[in-house]
Amino acid sequence: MPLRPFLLSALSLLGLLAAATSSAATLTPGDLVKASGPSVYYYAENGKRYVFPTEKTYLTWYADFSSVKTVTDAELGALMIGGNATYRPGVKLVKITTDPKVYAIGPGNQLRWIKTEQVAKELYGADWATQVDDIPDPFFINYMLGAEVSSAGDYDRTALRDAAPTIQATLTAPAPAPAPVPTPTPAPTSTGGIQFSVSKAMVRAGDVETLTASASSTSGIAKIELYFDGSLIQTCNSTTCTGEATVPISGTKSSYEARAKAIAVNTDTFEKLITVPLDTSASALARLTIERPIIRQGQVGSAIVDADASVAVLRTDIYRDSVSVKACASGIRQCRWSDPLTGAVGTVYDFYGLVTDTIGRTYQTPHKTITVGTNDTPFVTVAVGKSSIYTGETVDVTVMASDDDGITMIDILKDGAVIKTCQGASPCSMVTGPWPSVGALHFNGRATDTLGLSATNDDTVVTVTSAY
Amino acid sequence: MRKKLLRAGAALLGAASLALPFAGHAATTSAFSTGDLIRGETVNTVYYYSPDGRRYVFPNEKTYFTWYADFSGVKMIPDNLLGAIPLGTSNVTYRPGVKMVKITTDPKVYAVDQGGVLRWVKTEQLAETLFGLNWKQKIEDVPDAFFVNYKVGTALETSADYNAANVMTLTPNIATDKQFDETLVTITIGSVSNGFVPTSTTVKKGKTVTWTNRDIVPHTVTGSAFDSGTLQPGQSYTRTFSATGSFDYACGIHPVMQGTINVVN
Repeated sequence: MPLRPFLLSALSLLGLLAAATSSAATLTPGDLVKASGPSVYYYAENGKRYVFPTEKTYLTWYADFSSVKTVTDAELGALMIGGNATYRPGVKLVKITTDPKVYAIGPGNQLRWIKTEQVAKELYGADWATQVDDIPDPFFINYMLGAEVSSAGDYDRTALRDAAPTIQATLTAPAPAPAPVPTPTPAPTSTGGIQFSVSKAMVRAGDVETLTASASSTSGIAKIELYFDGSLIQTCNSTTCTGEATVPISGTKSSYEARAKAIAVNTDTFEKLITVPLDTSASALARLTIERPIIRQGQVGSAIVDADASVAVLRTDIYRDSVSVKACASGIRQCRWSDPLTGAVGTVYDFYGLVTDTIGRTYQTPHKTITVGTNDTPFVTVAVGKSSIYTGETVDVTVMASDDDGITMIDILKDGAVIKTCQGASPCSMVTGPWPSVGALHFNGRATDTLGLSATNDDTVVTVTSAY
Repeated sequence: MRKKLLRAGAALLGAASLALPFAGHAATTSAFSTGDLIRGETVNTVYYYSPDGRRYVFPNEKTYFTWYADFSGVKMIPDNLLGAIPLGTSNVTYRPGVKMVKITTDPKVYAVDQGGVLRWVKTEQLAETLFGLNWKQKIEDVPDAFFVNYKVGTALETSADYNAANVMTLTPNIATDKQFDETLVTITIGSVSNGFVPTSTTVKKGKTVTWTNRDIVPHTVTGSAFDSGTLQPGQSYTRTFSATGSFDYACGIHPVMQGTINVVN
């Protein structure tokens, strides 16, 4: 089958052709900006530029291109793309080509389905159909689906339009605003200034922090230096500068200092400092399991780190006393360490796991310990016949345990209550149920050794779903 | 000037998504399965039908060709069924390891990692190590408006940080790239006239099928061996098919709505 060549590349079309140009020295949030290319961008308070995906999007906000400021290509390139601009609320109706539903625009980039033609008529007049724009499919994801509009009273065009006077008002994402950065810095008597931001207002150990600075001076900028934690990470001989720094894995600091220093041609210097606190709190998305919290000297201790399915895992590290003892490579959701622990009785080993995702975020597990004792905790495992059953079905539960001293008793617990007790070390099993109602069943095993020390393992969950 | 601008805007509508010219009169079908490429009868845009029951948009032709060599596998389905399938929650991004990308207004060149994560290739030497001597031919421009489909991840420092062949092999399809659970299949319950979408689908044994009522009135999913009970708008019903065979079902309230699940090994 022959392919029809694309008549026009999407590239040349995406982005707007600016009709008028004017030159401007400095940018203020809310400005429209372009460089040598045709595309026009909205410069937002977070220092990023926003793309107009279509000309129609632009025209819901501006009547013409008269206020567009022109900067150099290098200056434009230094501004990160923040996202796409969306339709201004209350101005137009939209749809996608392959679905007949017509939507009004709500605040926060919402699309609100106009349920009947009658409502569309009441809100947008008899010629409402002429006010419907097709949104190209790839830009549908720039919007979220909001509540439906069932009657004209559900949607107030004028109020919604007035509530969003600028594109800034629709950029709901509360950008992780780095410490107060007074964006426009036109100090009255000064001859220049510096703007400085960091990619993460708060960091975890191992994070990559991106520092971005831009400076201006009437005499011209000679160079910009970026420092993180006291060391120089980047020197630029231009008016903008970006550098990356890795937050140390270990250390005693509770915060790090990011600093940008600009030196003007006339040797004026401008400096800005951002203090980045270190986030040491545990994440719910990474879990640490210690199979046996108490072991004997020379026995094998083990620690398992599981990453939540929502995390795109790049790597996982397991730390013992703040030293990485195991690193698992890309894509592995479960990382397991085990090794004999030879410390004297009474030694406490501290463990935690750190999961790094593909975009550099880290997730730290809570700390757990393994203690070397005179008696080790029994090792308990629970096996269930099925992890998912229908209502009315039964489920087999088997608990096995081992311990150097021998096991005297094994219990099976359901939701914390003992439902079966077996004497001795042989596996304890029973058929539970039938379970009549939908929900989750939590099973645990508990074992007691001959010296009286008992251990309960983590929950094993069986979900009960409706069969009919 | 205004007139010219508007023309540019109209052309943009046609080119902004992946339009596929279908010369022949391919037969339409209402039988398609997770992982298929689908299009409607009148509009020639191609979508990826994903395990979450949504259709995912290819922002442009270049993105499509990182995943597929041609359009031979595309199934044409009736327009009303296509309309009943919601659009994806994100757009399809470049297949990892195939190309490097950049945006026109920023000189940084990025390698693509799983999940549409862009990783800055810091030096020319590194680009050559990762993508070979003709690495410059492997750089494509991503239009600014599609840059938001990507996330910027950590930069690549050494060749050990990224292996183009491996990352490509590990992401054989779009569902894997987006980390969808491929044991799931989602069927949309559209309006009475649209029925179940897809009407007929093939799943592997052991897969879990979820029906979601996206209509504005209640429906049921009723077969000889299973019954969802009444599903209000927005509600879902889930069943795992652990035996092979062909399972017919219908809506107990609107018997005209009928569907089939083919379970294969």
